[in-house]
Amino acid sequence: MSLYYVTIGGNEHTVELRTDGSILVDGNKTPVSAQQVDIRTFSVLSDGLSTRVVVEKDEAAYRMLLHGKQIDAHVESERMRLLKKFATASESEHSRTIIHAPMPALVVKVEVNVGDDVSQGQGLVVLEAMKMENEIKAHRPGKVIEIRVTKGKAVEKGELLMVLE
Amino acid sequence: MIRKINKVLIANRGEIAVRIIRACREMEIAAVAVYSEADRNSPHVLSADEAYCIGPPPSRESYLVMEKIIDTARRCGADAIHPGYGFLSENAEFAQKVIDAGLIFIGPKPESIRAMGDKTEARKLVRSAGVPTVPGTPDAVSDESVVRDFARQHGFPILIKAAAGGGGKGMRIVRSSDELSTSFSAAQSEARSAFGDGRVYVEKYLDNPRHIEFQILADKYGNIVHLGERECSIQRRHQKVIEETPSVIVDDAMRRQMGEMAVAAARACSYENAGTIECLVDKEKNYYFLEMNTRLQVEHPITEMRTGRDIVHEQIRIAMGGKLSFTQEEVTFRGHAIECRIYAEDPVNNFLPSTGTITHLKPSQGFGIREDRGVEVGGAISVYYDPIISKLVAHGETRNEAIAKMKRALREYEIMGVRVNIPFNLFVLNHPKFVEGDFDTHFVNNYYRPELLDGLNPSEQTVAAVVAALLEHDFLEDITTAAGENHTVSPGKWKASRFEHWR
Repeated sequence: MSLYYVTIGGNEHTVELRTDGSILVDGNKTPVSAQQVDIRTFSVLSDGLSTRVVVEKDEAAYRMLLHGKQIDAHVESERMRLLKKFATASESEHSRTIIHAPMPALVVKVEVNVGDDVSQGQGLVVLEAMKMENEIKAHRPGKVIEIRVTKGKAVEKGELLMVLE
Repeated sequence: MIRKINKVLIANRGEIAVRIIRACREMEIAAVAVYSEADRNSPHVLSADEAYCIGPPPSRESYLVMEKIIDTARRCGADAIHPGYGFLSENAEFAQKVIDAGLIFIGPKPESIRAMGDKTEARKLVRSAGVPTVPGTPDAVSDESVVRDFARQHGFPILIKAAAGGGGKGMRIVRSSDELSTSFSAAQSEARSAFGDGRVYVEKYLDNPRHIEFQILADKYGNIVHLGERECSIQRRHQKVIEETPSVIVDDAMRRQMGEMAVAAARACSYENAGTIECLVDKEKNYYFLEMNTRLQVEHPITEMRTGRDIVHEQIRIAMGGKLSFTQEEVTFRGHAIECRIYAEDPVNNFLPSTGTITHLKPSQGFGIREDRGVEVGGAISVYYDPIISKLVAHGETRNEAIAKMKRALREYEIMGVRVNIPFNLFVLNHPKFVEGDFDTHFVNNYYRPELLDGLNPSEQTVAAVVAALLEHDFLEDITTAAGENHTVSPGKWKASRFEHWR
């Protein structure tokens, strides 16, 4: 038997794949017929209910589209969960917040300096993408300990902009 | 005086370039695409008769370089240039250069573009033709104290707007005097970077207005008709997302009256070709001229669906010197049409643009659905251009029928590789206020919260959980057996019977 924890939109489900071929979701036996229709498309029949699911693996999650809704499903095997438990127990507390660029953009303005104390909601950087200006704000109060960008710099998605402590 | 057009160069990209190429085909006119280095494999290049590269990806070095475009048109023997929307479409200097090069500009005369392009001048002009306008500064302002005086006289909120603008760029609402300074300079700098012109003007901001616009068509002989209104109040970040025609608040009498106003506004600048008169309408149904868009509009398809008139065909016919092929009395309206723009953006994260490569695409089909799209699988949504992917249009006999068709089409639409605003569009179409027709331009601010987007219901959650677990299980087995093959959703091992073991 293999056990998986699947998190979708904040809800965790357990999926048990048994050696006899049966599937249990959250402890309930769930008859399922799954077929791969093309590279990314799956057809699932469950209790007569027909669902078309498009799936793509994105770094940490399975990105899925069904009935016009796009969701990310995070899956963890039982083994992974155990390993993680041990790992986190030994990890120390870290109070740094790294501010990343949420999209590829141009830095229009850096609104703070190293050493500044910032309050929650305070503007840190103004980015321009597709001709729209977007202000990146502090999610929590803190002190600016590092700034990696300057006005006029083009940044990639996920690029480190600054660090708060 | 007919001047036949045999070959049109389309100075644009994406869905609108494809739209215009289709019209050219239907009229047996050769279509020439121009493209930036980023667009070599784009649909508009692939579907054109000829295609020429005009430079690197940034628009400033390609789609906005007048000389390259005109030079390409001359060299390939085009008779005319269609500018589409955005880019150079409302640039009077470009229109003039096209004409000076001996080519036909498929659009209005440069004088008309200039007259309407300066928003302050435009309002003066139409006011003199008896068209009502919102109170505003008569001229562009560069001095903050003028803005303060205006606010004192008319009260907050006020709106600061780029004189050269459109599409919400360089626009700021100011609700109190403490916000004034920051907003004023932000609007100026945004206007400067978007249009190369930092001038702004100020007007009274109407709370809770509707945005209703009229499509007009005018030939070179003074014949002007309107094709009815478009309700464009559903906007996010000052940009339209969902448009429909007719508007639930416009009855026949109001349509006739506003239509005459739109025709008068067009006549005031001796307009030719297709144009749109944008109005704000308040709760008492007073309407005010906002601006005129002197080009083909993104949302023109809903008007086509409801009138049966092909606006791009008419544009080309008019540009050739043809007379309008129908009179105002011959314009008839049928049913209801809705457009949902599908943008690559994240409705959960403040509608931030989402870049990436389209990996999967299965558009909607079926009776009453039209799609205008300029991206295919393998195509990229990049930072260089507008993140629009597609325009989905539903046409039905009644508003409810059109809504039902649109909801069906949105659920059917599959796209992967970028985040899209389909869940947001569904949210709007399902909202009781939208269904009742009781909304204004603040709909999104008033009612939308990302938490309200439809999540998966329990049975959908079960299905998703099972699929995810099966794929992960397969993946882990692969690792143990084949050791480290690069895992995707395994295009390589695609096999219908892959999960046959499970039941």
